[in-house]
Amino acid sequence: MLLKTKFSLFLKFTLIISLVLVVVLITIGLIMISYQEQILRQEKYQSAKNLLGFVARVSAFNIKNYSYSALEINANRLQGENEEDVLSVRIFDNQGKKLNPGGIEPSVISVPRRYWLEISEDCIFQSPVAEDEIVGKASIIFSLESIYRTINQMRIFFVVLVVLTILLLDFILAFLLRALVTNPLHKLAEGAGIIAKGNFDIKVDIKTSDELGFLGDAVNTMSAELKQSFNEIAELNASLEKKVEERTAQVRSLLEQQNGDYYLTSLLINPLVNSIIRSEKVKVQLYLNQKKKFKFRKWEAQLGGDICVANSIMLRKKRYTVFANGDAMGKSMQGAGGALVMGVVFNSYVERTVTNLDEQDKNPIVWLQECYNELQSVFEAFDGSMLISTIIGITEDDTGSTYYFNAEHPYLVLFRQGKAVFVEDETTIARKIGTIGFSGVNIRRIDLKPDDMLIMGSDGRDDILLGTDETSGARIINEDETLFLRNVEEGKGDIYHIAEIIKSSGEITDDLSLLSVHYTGTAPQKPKKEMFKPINLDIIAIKDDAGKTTYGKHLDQKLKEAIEFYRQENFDGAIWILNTVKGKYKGRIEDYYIYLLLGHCYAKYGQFLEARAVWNEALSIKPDDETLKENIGIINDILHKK
Amino acid sequence: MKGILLISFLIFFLIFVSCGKKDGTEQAESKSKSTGTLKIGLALGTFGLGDRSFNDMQYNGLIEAYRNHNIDVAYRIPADNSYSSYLDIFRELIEYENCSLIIAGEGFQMSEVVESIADDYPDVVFVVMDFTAEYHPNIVSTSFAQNEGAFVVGALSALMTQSGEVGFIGGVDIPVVKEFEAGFVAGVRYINPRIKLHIEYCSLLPDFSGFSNPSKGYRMATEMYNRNVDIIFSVAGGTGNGIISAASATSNFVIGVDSNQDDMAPGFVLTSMMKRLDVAVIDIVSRFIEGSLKGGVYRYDIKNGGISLTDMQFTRDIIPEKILRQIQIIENKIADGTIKVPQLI
Repeated sequence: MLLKTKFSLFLKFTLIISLVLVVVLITIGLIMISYQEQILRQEKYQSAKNLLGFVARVSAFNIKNYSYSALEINANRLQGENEEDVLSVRIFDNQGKKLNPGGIEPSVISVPRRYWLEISEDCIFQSPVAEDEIVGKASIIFSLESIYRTINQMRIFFVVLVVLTILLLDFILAFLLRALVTNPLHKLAEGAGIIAKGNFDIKVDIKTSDELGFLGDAVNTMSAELKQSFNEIAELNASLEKKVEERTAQVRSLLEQQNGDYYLTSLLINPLVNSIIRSEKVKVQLYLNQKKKFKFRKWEAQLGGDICVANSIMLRKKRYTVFANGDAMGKSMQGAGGALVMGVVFNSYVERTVTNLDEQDKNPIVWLQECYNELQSVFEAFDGSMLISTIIGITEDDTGSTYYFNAEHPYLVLFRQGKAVFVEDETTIARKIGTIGFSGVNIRRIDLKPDDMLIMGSDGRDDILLGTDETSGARIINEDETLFLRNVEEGKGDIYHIAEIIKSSGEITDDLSLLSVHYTGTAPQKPKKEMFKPINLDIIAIKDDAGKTTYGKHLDQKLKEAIEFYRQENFDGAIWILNTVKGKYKGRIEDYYIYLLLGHCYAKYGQFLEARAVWNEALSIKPDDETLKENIGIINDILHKK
Repeated sequence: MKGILLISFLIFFLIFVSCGKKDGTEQAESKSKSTGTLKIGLALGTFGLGDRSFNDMQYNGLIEAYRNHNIDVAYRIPADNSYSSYLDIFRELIEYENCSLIIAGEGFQMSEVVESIADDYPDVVFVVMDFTAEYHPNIVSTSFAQNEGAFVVGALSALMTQSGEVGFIGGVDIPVVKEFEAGFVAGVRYINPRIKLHIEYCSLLPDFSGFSNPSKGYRMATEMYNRNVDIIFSVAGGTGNGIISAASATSNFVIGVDSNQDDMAPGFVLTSMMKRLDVAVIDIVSRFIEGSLKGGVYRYDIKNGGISLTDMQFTRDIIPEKILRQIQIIENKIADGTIKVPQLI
């Protein structure tokens, strides 16, 4: 490849220069030679003319004096001479008769006719006494063959000379070209090839001070620069990897730290999300799927702004189920903060209701109103940076009557007889909790029929990524709120099922929480047979004068109410009240009764762990109670069996 | 690359083609023999053209005849004086040149050849110059009346001599020369019988060297001039050249013979008695063309212009007008027969 390039370069230069030289030299040469030929011919013609003139004059004299022999002799002598190149000398008289028989006829001349120079002249006799007289004509044929031969020899000699000269020049040129251009170029090409293969240590050795030397220096400089750049890049690469490793480690540790924060926060929130429902008629289901999932050490956890809480409370001796589904503004930590505050406030409000009997005097509407007020006042303190949308409701277990308010949360859905409907519109919805300067809330009532379900959920139930628009590349987010209704109908109200349907219809882009309140309307089933030895209520109860059972003075009012509920088989109510007074008597006999009764209430519902715990408390107060010991043994047996 | 190669090749090709033009084919020689035109051949003496004597005269006569008639001419010069050389040129003139009339210029020496081949070529007419050959129907002999010419120069010598002594030097004492002598002596006596005559021969028969011994002629002439002779008539062929040199060397007159020898020593050669072979050639050719030429002897004398003196180019001013007139009268008298010149042959 390289050799071929070299050869063609050499060939091109040599051929072009040779061609130019050949054309120019030969053109000039041939012109000069033809000029020379012209001159030679001219000279020949002149000498021939002179000779002819002489012959004509002599011949005129001889003709006039009848000296024909002199004509013949002179002509023969001329014809015999090679110097003058005379082919033929013929002397004619005025009648055109040839006077010298030895005059060679043109027809017998062997020299080709194109070499002839034929000239003739009148023979004029110049008489000293008379007028000039034309006595004949002399005609001489000269040969130009020698001239042409000379010219041809000159031409051939010249061409040979030119060709030889050019050959010699070519050799010199080729040598010079090789030394001055081709070899340096070869070196350059070789050097460039080596550099191209990535070896920058090569030095092109061209020490001339011409353009090629400059080019060689440039290539050397280039290779040096390349080498430096290459080394820098290599170093950079090496350090970059290190940096990336360092950064990754940093990021990892930060992430670890962050995830630790997340985890701790999630640990704070998790206890707030609970459902402590003891009702037989109202069933509450919670579903919580936060968008932010993370891993901290061995624990996997999630964090978000959604929160679901459900609990049972007693108001005016009636059992109610309270529920809250909230969605705090912001993602992960911000949202988690909102959810945390909401959980803390709402749970503490509920807990206060459970523990504080004064709180239990409240009408459900008032309770709900105050709940809102408390949340609003707490969130307002964050000066609008923390907002939460929520539905908080309260359902009377016996009747199914439900009160609720919606603070900018997605519409509440009623699922009745397989049909799902929104039970509200935008006019019924309040602003988010925490909105500055807004404190009004619209408490609504729904009377649930048996098997009715109330279903609520956060924005996540609608914010589904259905796909990507093929033309614009924009993401297509579901905007059809009624999609949820269909999902509810399809899931038949089971929120876990509904959640699965939502997930399968597209990617969920937000925290998703669902909460359902199912009013069964049926009475709680009673235990069919007494597994435990019954409590002797009479020990506690004392009949009054009118025959009515009265309680001993030492019994607390609450305990009396609890016994009353127990007799009415309102075990919820009994548990409710007993929980508010347990431990109140500090180990006295009243506590014994409270724990004993509470255990029986739990036992009625089959909550054996709780039952055993409180019975053990009772046993610690009155260790000689054999009946109690028997009952604990029964529980132990049951639990052991399980 | 291919294109460049092709173009360069083309250029070189063109260059070589332009240089190496090949010679044209030789033109075929055409030896067209003229048909219907008579051709006259001339066999010259060995000396060839340029002898200012017999050869030139015959040649000039032939060319003059050629100019006057529609004929072709050819001439040959023998390689030497041998019989075979003569035969060669005759054969060439007959067979190669197709001559129908052949003039044997060296009559005395060629007559033998002519006589031997004349019968072989009966259609060819042979002319023997200045010699009388055997009779053949196709041989024409020519003779010149040298006695008449010798008579005229004898008279001129007698008129011109100052010392009263004139000389005659002959080459060899053959009959022709003897007739010169007789004519010369008669001419001298015709003017003045008292004039003293010195008669000498360079060599005597059978010695022929007297015709070609110029040094001896020079010695003899010088001797004769020293003996008070002031005019010598030289009839000695090549030997005459020596005689003429002696004349100019001693500032005496000499009279040439046969052809115009006046210019060999201008001013010293008084005149030359010419045998006008050119006149004879012209006459013979004319007769041949007319068809009147027959075998036999034709004599040329003063009357028919076959004998004459020169026009005395160099001596005309020396010779008085009266003498010239007298000579003219003598010539006329000879021509019309008033003067009888002795004839030996």
